[in-house]
Amino acid sequence: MLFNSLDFAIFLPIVFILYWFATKGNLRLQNILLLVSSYFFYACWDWRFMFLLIFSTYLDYFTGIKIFEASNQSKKKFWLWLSIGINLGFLGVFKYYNFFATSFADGLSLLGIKANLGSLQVILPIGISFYTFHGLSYVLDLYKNRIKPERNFIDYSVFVSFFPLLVAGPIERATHLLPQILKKREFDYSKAVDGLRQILWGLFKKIVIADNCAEYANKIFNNSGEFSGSTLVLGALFFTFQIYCDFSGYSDIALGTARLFGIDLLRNFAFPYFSRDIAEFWRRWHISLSSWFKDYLYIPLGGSKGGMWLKIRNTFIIFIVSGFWHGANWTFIAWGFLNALFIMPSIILNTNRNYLDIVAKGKYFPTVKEFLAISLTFALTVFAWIFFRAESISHAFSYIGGIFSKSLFTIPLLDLKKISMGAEIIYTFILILGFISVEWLQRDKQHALQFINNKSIPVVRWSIYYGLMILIIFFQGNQQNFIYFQF
Amino acid sequence: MKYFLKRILLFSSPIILYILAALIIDPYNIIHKEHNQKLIELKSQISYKLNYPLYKLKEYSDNPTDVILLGDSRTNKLNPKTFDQLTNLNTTNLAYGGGTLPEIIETFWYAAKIHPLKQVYIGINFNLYSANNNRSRVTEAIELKNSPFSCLFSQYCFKSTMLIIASLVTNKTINVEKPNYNRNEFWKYQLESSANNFYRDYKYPTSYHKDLIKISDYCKKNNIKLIFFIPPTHTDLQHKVNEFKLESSEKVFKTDLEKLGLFYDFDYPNEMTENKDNFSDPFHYNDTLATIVINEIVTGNIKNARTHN
Repeated sequence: MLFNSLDFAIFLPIVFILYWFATKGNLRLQNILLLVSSYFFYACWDWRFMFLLIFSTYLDYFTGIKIFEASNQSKKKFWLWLSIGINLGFLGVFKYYNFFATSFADGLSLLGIKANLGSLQVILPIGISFYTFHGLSYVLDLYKNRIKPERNFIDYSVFVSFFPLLVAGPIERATHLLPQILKKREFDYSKAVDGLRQILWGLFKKIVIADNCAEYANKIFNNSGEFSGSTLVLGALFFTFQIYCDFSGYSDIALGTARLFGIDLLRNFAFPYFSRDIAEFWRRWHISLSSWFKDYLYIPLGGSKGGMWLKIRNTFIIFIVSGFWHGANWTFIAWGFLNALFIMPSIILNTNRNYLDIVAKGKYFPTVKEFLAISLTFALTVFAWIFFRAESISHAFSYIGGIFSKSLFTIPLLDLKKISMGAEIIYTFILILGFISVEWLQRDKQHALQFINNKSIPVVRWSIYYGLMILIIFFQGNQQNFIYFQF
Repeated sequence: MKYFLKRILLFSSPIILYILAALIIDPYNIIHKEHNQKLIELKSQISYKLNYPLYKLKEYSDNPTDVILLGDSRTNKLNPKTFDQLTNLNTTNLAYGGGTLPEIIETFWYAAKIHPLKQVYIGINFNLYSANNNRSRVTEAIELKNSPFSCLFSQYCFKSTMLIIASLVTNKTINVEKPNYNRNEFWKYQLESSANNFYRDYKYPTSYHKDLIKISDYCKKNNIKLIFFIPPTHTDLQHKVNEFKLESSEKVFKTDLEKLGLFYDFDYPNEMTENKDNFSDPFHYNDTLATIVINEIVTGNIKNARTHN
């Protein structure tokens, strides 16, 4: 069930009405309803994998209690590693087996040994990377005595399976979400209305910007050998906006939907393309994953303590693992590696926490220095996205080779004609510019439509809502799956 | 909570009104078949022109026929009723203004899936036979046809509904096509802009050629009479091929078509194509030539067409 589908447009109001009316504010009933609807939501994708989800949920619920009740450290460790082992085992089988098998065979063939480890014809269970990380954060927090175990299986299951975040995050923490699930929730008008605004902005980002950019990015990346360097740059830019609007659009819809049910999810994006260095970018992009890796991998590895070399090693480890989390392909590892490389100057010069504030706060325009810093960071990000989008490492290199050719300085009029009949591409440029302007002006807010509050003039507010809806109708791109569903 | 629901209802009222209007008017007959004569007329004037493939494919899926015509605006000019009379079979013209080769190919398979075909007439000119002329509106049209929700919230349904309501209110059919140019100006524009756009970056359509071979094989296997024809264009446009030094590519194009099925070529310099009176612009012939084309491709009684390259 896609967030931008008829199914969801029917599903959401039904669950909303039942949640606030049929349960009459009874927390137990509300949580049961959330769980049933979440499982229904998941079963719409593929009901067979529901059993895996339920098993994974029960595993962490059970091992969580065992960790808490263990009489000594070694028993705690045993239950922790059992949970980690099984969770990562599922990920390994469903997501990474084929990658490891082919990479191992390729490695052996370099030594002249032929090996065929076979491949598994399995579908990747949707959301597995996300709900596995939910569960892992829970058992790790229990192990570190940060939380107490949840003994009610239904409440715990809602924490893992709450439908807005089930298939593509944000990756929640038990410390943040579980207390909200256990607390009586009252309807909050302002929160619900703001949730709807966030959903509308998310739909605009996904349907108008991401889906239109996807069309051009796909055409250019799929036939990269045919295009000039300047067009390849355009292709990388289209993908840069596609992936941002696709994923942050999804997150906006998820956060907005959760707020309709009185639940606040973790923020996942904070206008990352206005970052002044790569360290700031990673504090603003897919925040729930970056902070997950920081808390559960970087810090346990020693973090920034223990000298420069350890810091550098740990940084490379988390970026490469983070790349690998995205998918079983060397391109994602290369993308992670590149980002680690780009962040190195900040790590070595100890400037990685220089930009914790909002750029040009209270001003319309950045300073020249800020502008140059944003542009450089953006350029590095675009470059790294080429690896993320390419089919293989060799495709990425040939794409980059195509960019840095004589044709980089040509005006790609003929190429543009090839990828777009008529003026559609011009409209897409205009929409992207408009989108960037709105996001720039709202960069100190939680989402771009938060500037509209209930006190602003209703005619203006409603005109903006209707205007966005009309833009969605007139400029919708061909419907594409959310990119992060494949992770 | 009640206040919230009231506000939502108030906010949604224009959307609900639009949905009701769109469901009642149903500009592309996705939900029900239209019986109201006034609406049939308005839809054919407005909805049809806003999305030819969606309108035609929906009509075809409701009333599939044994004979289909595929191509661009030049084939669209051919009257299916004349085909009905000559073939004694029912015909649907599935050619679209601004049609392309991928649209022809996709439409063929869509039509073949819906109904067993007996005769297929495909009109292709050289300017369509290019890998770079690759737009396809048919994919989107099929998706919209199969998904009433997407169709309801598509720009085509929205525009059509609004324009049909406006036409009903003002009692005047709103013209959705661009105003007519002066004939001479348009003639010049078509030669200097449209033709140049087609030929400037010509590329042999390897993959589309393979798709046409598949269609040809399918027709042979299923005893479907497959006719390829090249509609006539004015010699001013024919000369453009020489201007862009594409003579050999055009020859390959004609040879390709000849190998695929029955073949009729009307697009070569002769008295008929030299006469400007036979054309509204260099690309588009008039009704007199349309009748000639139909008679020759259906009966095989050739007076003007060439059957060999």
